[in-house]
Amino acid sequence: MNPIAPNFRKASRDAVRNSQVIAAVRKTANLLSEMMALAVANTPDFEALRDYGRARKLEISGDLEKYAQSFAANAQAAGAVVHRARDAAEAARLAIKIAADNGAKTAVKGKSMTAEEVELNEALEAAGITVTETDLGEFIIQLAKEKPSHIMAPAIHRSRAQVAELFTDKLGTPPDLGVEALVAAARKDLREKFLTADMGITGGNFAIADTGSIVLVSNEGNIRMTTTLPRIHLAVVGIDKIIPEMADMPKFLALLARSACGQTISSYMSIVTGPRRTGEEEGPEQLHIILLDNGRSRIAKGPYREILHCLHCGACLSHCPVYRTVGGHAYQATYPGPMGSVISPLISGLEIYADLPNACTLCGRCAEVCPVCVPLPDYLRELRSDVKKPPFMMKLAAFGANTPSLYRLGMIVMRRMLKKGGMGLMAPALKEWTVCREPPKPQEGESFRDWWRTRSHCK
Amino acid sequence: MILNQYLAKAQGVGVNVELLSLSDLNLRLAALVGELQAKSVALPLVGWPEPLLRTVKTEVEKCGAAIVSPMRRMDGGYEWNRSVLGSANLGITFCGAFVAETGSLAFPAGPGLGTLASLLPETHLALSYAKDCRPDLGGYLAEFGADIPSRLTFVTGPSRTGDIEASMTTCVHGPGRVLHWIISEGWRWVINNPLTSVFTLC
Repeated sequence: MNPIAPNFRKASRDAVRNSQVIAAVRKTANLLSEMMALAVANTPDFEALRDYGRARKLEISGDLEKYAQSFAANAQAAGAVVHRARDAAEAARLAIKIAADNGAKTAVKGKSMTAEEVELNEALEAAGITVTETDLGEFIIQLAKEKPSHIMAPAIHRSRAQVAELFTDKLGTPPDLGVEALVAAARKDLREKFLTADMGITGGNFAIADTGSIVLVSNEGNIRMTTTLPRIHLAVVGIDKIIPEMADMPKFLALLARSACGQTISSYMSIVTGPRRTGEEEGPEQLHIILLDNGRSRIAKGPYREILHCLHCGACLSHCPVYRTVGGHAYQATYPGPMGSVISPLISGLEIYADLPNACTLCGRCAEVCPVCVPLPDYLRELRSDVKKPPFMMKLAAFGANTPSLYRLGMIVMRRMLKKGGMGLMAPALKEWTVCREPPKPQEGESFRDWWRTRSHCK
Repeated sequence: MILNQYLAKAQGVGVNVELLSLSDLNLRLAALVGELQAKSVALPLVGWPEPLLRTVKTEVEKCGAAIVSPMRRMDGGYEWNRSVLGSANLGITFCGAFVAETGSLAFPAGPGLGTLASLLPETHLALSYAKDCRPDLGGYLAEFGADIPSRLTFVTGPSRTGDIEASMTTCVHGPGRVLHWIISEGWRWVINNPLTSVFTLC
C-alpha cells in the first residue's frame, strides 16, 4: 500500500519539529475535546447509552456475516445493487466497473475513510475518472495533494493562512482571505461540479440491516448534494458499519454526534433507502453499495474483535497525547491515533505497522472517551507483545517483580549500585529508555520498604 | 412541553424559529421576499395543506418573484428544471414533522416533494403546524414502519463547517440561513408559557 515502509519513529521526530502543524492540531483537538465534554455533560444518560452501544455492538461483531446478508437482501429489495468486496483491490475494481458501465467521467465525493482505505480516488483517477472531494477539509487537502490527518477533521493540520495561500494558488482567489471568504470560494467552485457530476461517491456512517438503508451525516450539506444530484450513487461501506434495526440508529447517532464534535445531531442526516422511485424528481437512478470486508471478518474472530465496534468519531484521536504531539501524518496510515494504531496493523499487517502499538503512553484517555468502550490501551499493549515477544531480560525482571524475596534482594543490589556509580552502570541496558529521558536519581534516606515497616499497622 | 424543547434546541443550532398565526403569514412573507430581493423562489407544490399553499403562492407571486417547482411530466412523474432551480435564492418548503429532541426538520422524499428546495438556495424557509412537533427521533422513525421513503432527510440548523481552524462558519454548500415558521391559530396555550411568549411577540 505504501511505497516506502512506514517509519513512525522517524516521521514523529520530524513532525514534532514542525511547530506550525502541531499548533494547528492542538488548537482544533482542544476545541473538539471541549465540545464533546460539554455535550456529554448535558446528556445525563450518556453512560447508559455507551453501555447500550457496546452491548449491541458485541451482538453484531459476534455474527457480522448474518447482518451483512440481511442488510444486502433488504437493500436489494429497496432497489439498490449490493456488491461484496473481499479486499481493497476488489472494491476499487468494482467501483471502476460501475463507473465504466455507466459511462461516468466525473464524480463528486463526500468524505469517506473507507474510500481512503481502498485508495478509491487513486484507482478511479487511474481509470480516467475525475473525482472531486466536496467536504471542505477534504477539498483543501485534495488541492494540496495530501492525505487526511484526522478521521473527522481531515485538514486539522492546516492553518487558515495556509489554506488562503493554497486557494490563491489553485483557485485564484485574492490573497489572505478570512475563513468566511474561503468557505464562499469553495462553495462557488464546488456548486457547478455538484450539478454536473455523473456519479456521487460516499461512505456510510451506519447501514441498517432491517431496512437496507444507508445513514449519512454531515454538517456542510455536501453529502446531501452527492447523494441527490448525480445519476449514480456509489456508497462504500465497511461491514462493521451495519447495525441491526432502524430503532438502534438514534442511539448510535447520539453517541457519534456527541463524540465527534459535541452535537446532538449533525446539521444534515440522510437516510438513503434505494435509488429514486417512480415519479420522483430527485435522487440517483442507480444506487450501488460496496460492502467492504478487507480483513474485518478475520478481525471479528480474533482477540481484537471490539475494534470493529469503532464509530469513527475521532474522539480518541483528539484526546490522545501522542496524536496531539505528532499529528496524524506521522502515523503514515489511513487511520491514525489510538484506533488507527490498533486497526492499521490488523488490516495491513503487524510487520508493516510494528511501530504503531508503541505510539502510545498507555494513559487510558482514549478508552475513557470512546463512545462504545473499545479497550484501546489493552489492545495496544497486547499488540506490542504480538509484534515482539518480550526479551529474556524482561521475562527475568517480571519473574523477579512477582517474587517478593527476589524483589527485595534486587532492590538492595540496585540501591548499592546506584549509590556507587549512579545510573551510569545501567546505561547500556537502558539506553533506549534514556535517549529522551533523564535517568532517575537514587532515593535519599530510607527506602520505601524501610519506611513502610515503621508504620504501626504493619507490625 | 415538547414545543418548548424544540424551540430551545432549534434556536441553539441557529434556526430562526417564529410562531405565527395564519393571518400574519402574508405580511411576514412579503417582508422576507423583499428583504432577500428574491427574484426566484424554489417552492415544491406537493404535500402542502391547501390553504397554506394558496397563501404562500399568492404572496410570492404578488411580490413579483418567479416560482420554481418540480414540474408534472406526461407520465405522471415529476421533474426539476435544474438550471432554473440553481438560480433560486429562497427555498420554501412545507415541513410535516419536526423533532423536539434534536431540533430537526424532517423531509421525506416523494413525487413532487422537491427536497432540493431546502438545500440549494442560500435561504430556506420551512413552514409547519404546531401540532406536527414530534418528541423524539426514534418515535418519528417508527411511524414509517417498513415503508421508508427513498430519502429521508433531517435538517438541523444551517449548513456549517469547522474545517478551517475549527472556526464555525455557515453557508458552505447548503443554506446559510434557516427560518422555521410554526403556524397555529390557537396560540393561547403557547402564549401562556413565559418562554414561548417571547418568540410569539417578536
